[in-house]
Amino acid sequence: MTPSDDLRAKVLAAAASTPSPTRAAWRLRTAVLSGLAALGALGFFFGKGGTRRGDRSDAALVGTAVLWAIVAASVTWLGLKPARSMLGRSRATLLGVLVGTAPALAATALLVALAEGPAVDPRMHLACGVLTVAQGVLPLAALAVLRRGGDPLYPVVTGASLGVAAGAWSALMAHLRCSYVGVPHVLLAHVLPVLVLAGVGAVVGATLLRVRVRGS
Amino acid sequence: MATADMWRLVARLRVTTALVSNERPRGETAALDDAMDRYARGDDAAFAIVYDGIAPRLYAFALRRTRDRERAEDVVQQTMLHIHRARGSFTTGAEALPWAYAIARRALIDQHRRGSREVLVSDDDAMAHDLVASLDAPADDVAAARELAARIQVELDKLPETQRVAFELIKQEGLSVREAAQALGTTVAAVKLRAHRAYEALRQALALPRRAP
Repeated sequence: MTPSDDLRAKVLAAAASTPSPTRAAWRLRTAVLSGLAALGALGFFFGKGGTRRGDRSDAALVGTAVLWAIVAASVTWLGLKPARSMLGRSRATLLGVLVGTAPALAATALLVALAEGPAVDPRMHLACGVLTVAQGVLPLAALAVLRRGGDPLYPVVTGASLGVAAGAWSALMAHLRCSYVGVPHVLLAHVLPVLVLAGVGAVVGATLLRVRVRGS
Repeated sequence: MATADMWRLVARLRVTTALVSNERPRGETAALDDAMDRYARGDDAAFAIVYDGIAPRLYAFALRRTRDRERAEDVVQQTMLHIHRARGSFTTGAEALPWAYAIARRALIDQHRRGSREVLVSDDDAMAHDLVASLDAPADDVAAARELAARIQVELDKLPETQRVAFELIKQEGLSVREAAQALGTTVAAVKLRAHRAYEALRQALALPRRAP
């Protein structure tokens, strides 16, 4: 049982007539897109004033930032494809990332910054939350473009985990930027957007990341 | 036919749905991965080697699922062209075969969803002809093998998708457990469990004795 010689000739001819990027071109594209996304996110962050200490103690600011950076780095590492593999992490690992990230961020924030801050106008929750989501959109878009059409297994879960990774970094920047320390504000405006970005990532995954096989 | 004879026949004739492990030598995989790596670096001539290493396996895999040569070739074509388009993303040291199987499996699912109904018997005669032509065996043995292969396939089709695919990849396609786990996006332990359950279900359905370790 072997495919026909005609098919072999057809596939080789099709490949020869439609050049595809080599690894060098792919790496260049990855570097450019990643760089642009990072610059965009940082530009957004500094454009909104950068780090603000406010009434927060150094321990609350730095402690939470360090712990969130560790969470964000871990989630990014888990969400990206491992070295020497074309198929990414197992579904169980990615689901673990999805389920565990928001509670991890919330727990570390509450652990370090237990003190209640002054009452925050509820509209601030929404405004800050929207900023957090917006800040994560560009990195998520870059990650999605880089992995476009490249997930034959579970693109929705992969997309959601990329959304969580982008959201975790965005939450970190929101934490640095926003001086409100109230628990409800941290949960609603900084942690909840991570889940929103996970949802956006899932939609992006379903549409962009899945392997598209054209009809013959 | 005695059960021992059935096992012997299955092993000897290497029927398409054999219950025997068919693992590939490591060198074959390494040569394929090396060719894919060269192709990713820009050596266009290496694509022919990649095709020859992957396409026949994918074709057999797809043909078992579709029972239709045209659709199986369509799956092979789409998978190989996807590999071509994505060659730049091929990571040094990665394995090409699990990747190819994962893409082919996705292609099969998409093909099924596009509404093309499974053609369960259309190419059975042609496949059987291939089988017979490939055998140097008495006619009775060939007939028995065909009957057994058909029974195994019927029982395989009754299994849950996860168990069936794990079984097929390991026992029929010759992937290692680790490669099958990669292709299915799950853990090695999960694949072992699925394949074992499939094997046990087949063994019970076919009333075969446990194989000696």
